[in-house]
Amino acid sequence: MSSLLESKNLSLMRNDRYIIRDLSIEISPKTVVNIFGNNGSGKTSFLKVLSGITEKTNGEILRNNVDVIYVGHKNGLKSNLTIHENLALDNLQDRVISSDEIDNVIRKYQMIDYRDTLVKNLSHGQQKRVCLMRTIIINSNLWLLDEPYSALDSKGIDILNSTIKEAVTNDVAVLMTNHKKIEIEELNVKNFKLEDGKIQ
Amino acid sequence: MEKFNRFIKKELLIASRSGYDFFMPTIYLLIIITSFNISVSYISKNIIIELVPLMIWLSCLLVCVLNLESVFKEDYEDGTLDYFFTSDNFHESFIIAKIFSHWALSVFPIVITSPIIGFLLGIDSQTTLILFLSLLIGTPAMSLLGSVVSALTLSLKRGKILLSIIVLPLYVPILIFGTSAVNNSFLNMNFYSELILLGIIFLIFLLISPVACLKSLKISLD
Repeated sequence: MSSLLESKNLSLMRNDRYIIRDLSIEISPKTVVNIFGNNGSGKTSFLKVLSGITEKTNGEILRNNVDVIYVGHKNGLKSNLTIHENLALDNLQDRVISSDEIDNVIRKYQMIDYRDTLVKNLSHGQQKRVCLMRTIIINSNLWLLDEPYSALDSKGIDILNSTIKEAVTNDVAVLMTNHKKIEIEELNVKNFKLEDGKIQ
Repeated sequence: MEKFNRFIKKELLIASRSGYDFFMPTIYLLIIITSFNISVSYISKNIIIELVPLMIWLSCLLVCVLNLESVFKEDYEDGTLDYFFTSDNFHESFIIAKIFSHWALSVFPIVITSPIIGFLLGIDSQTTLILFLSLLIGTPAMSLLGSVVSALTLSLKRGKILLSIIVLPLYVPILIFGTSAVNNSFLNMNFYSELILLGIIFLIFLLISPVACLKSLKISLD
């Protein structure tokens, strides 16, 4: 199966220091890749370079019919809008999403009771779930998730794992960063350790 | 176009939930004008009437500068810009929509209020109309130009002061043509050329600003 995204010798420099150095990775559909490492190892920078937010210093990024969504530390949700409004008024959607479709997704994530709650009144974990809902609705085929497990309780972790499993069955590839190795039941997660900007 | 409308709707909805923020520019304008009138109360009334439209123009310019920082600030802080820049669907039209909604929500109220204030302060109806028209053309041009600088200074901690220092000199041509149009109207002279020049400036910035904003945002996010 051809890869969705491939990076070749990707490097990022800041203040004469390599943040990431000669990183090469290939991401194919239906795969889950976890880049783990300590704080400051370059995980977030790597995702930002791959997603196009940050400009690379050297190297090559090859994209093949890929539609990326990046979910970073900042959630990109409007705090003064409700969950439903945030999802319904998503600016980048080509199609108009019906209210029923949104309600179904909210129900699936067990947050229908909070449908009309302002995002600012939700907990951090609940806001992460709303981000996941948006990821589902957007229909992209490559998810770049920056520390998606942080601030999640056990229920949230179960929901995230089942979301990833379902996405993978729908030909989506997931590239995430974490502080430790990740294992998801029934899935073959490829774990790579990132240290000082290099995959060990 | 549908996406553009959805964007505008979202911005309006957010503004409607922000409470009193919406009225702040108008209140600020009223305070400046009241202060001005108190400070010049000992001058002859004829001179004050001549100065009022120019003072209103200057006040609007200051209010515009005051608001500029907020054009992209919230989107930057809550991660919306990160989210936008990963999508292939993010284009200049979003920038135009963003600037337009910012102008409509924070500058347009003062464009409407200004002629009313001018009229109440004794300006004749023709000058009031020209004041309104010049602000209607000039303030979007200021928003377009200011948005570029706002995008460029987005990641700076003390960006607001730097933003004002950069933007105010750049606003001088708009201020000159705007106040000239109003002054010429007051003196019963031709004011069309100034209005046309304001229109040309607006069109130039309408073409340049979205592209420049995208580049500037990219630099700020990098």
